[in-house]
Amino acid sequence: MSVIYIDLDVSYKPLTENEDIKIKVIIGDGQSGGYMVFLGQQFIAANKTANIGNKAVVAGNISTIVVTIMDKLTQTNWTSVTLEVKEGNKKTVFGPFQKQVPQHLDTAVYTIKMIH
Amino acid sequence: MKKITVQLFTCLVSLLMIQYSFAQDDAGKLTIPSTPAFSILNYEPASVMKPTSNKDLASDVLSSFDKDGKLLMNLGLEVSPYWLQSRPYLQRNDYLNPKMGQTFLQSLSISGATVKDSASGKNKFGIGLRFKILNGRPVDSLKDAEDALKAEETIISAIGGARSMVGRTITTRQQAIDFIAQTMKAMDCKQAIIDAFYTDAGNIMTKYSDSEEGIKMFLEKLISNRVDINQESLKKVVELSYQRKGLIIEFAGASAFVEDQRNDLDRMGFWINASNYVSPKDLFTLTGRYMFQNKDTAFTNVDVGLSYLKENTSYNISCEGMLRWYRANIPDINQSGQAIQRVEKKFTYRLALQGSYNLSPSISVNISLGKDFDSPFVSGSGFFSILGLNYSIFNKERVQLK
Repeated sequence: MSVIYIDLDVSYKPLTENEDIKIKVIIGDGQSGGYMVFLGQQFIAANKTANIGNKAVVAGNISTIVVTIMDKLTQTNWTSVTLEVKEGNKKTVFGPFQKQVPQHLDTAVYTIKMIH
Repeated sequence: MKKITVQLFTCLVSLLMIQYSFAQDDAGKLTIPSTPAFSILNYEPASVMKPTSNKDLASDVLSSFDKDGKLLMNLGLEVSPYWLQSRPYLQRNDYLNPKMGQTFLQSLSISGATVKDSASGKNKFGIGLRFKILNGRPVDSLKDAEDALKAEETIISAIGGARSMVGRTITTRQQAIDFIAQTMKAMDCKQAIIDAFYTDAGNIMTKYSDSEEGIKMFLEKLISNRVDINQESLKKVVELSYQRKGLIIEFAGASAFVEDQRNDLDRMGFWINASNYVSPKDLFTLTGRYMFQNKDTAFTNVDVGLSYLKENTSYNISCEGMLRWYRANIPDINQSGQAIQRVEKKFTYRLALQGSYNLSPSISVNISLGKDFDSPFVSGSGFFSILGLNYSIFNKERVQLK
């Protein structure tokens, strides 16, 4: 079974001084997967909304979101990831990022570097 | 005595062979055909196109015609329109527990087939569709299986995290291993899993160098090993996600047409199935169907039936009862030699008991017993008109309730 890597870079500059930045990962196409969010080398959260802190914490840093999706659907080989970044009541959406795995049961590993 | 035994044996074998064909006839089964277009033509095409994207569909349609623009024969097409493109906002829970509209979209499948009738030489076309409006709910064991797999997918993401940091904060294989182990600890992985990771990584790392490329290859090897190890868990999740409990309601329809015939419609059918898994191993199915056949004799039948299936690891037992009302317009000649249409209307029924015993995962012995429908074309089909004993090698997989 093959593994494909989807490496992406996005840029997110904090919009407020004090509000915490929260990253939510949405896995689409009826698939499920496991994901992790890091800030720099620091582990922040796995499989839940990640609070990476406010502007002072994230400025000049890189958040890394890694999502692993093993294809579980016989109807489709599509996999997709959407990121929702919330800062107070402001929401920014990245994606959806989509990729079809070559064969049923193959694995897609998305690595999204978010530069702050 | 020996002669009588041989005759009895010959009779029994003949009976079984004749009745085997009844038992195999799809007409008596209380199921919706998986590909209605193929079923209405009584034909399984050698080549079936199953496009999974709009691009594939366009390409398949174009390749179905010859250079003169004529449709090629002996082709099959099966397409699920909803799945022709990515659905990035369809989350797992909505996929597994769809509402009525979503169930329809997810399950809609359209099929088409072309065949050249070997007897008449005429071209036949079939078109059909199938969809559900209710699809029960997932079996309880799915959640545990999904959670276990998700834990593994999360560990792979931890390794992926290290891969993304190679060249920035990770410059040796040992740093990568330590980073992954620390991350596993932070996500509350059991110590035994972390120890096993250290052992595996230690064995593999010797084959790679500490160059940036070497560390990446080492981490990708760790990922592919972990993916391979979890294939059985993944297959289990896939299998369980198609096992449903509760009420499932499904519809299907199909028509067959003949080229160069005044009245093009050859056959037509509609099916409705309501099935209910009262437990993962006990299934009740209520079926209704209407079939119309426009051959020398126009034949219409309406069937209503109920079946019960007990599934087990080593054996399956099913019993079914079906009521049929039919009407046949049979061309005939009256006493004065004039051509007439003889109309036969009748009520008949089918009762069947079937069992199969799995000798191994790919070999099973099957037995069927019962009474088949009476037919206007065959006289005297009494009890035991269904009697069969056969074996199956390389059983088809159980029908997936998508």
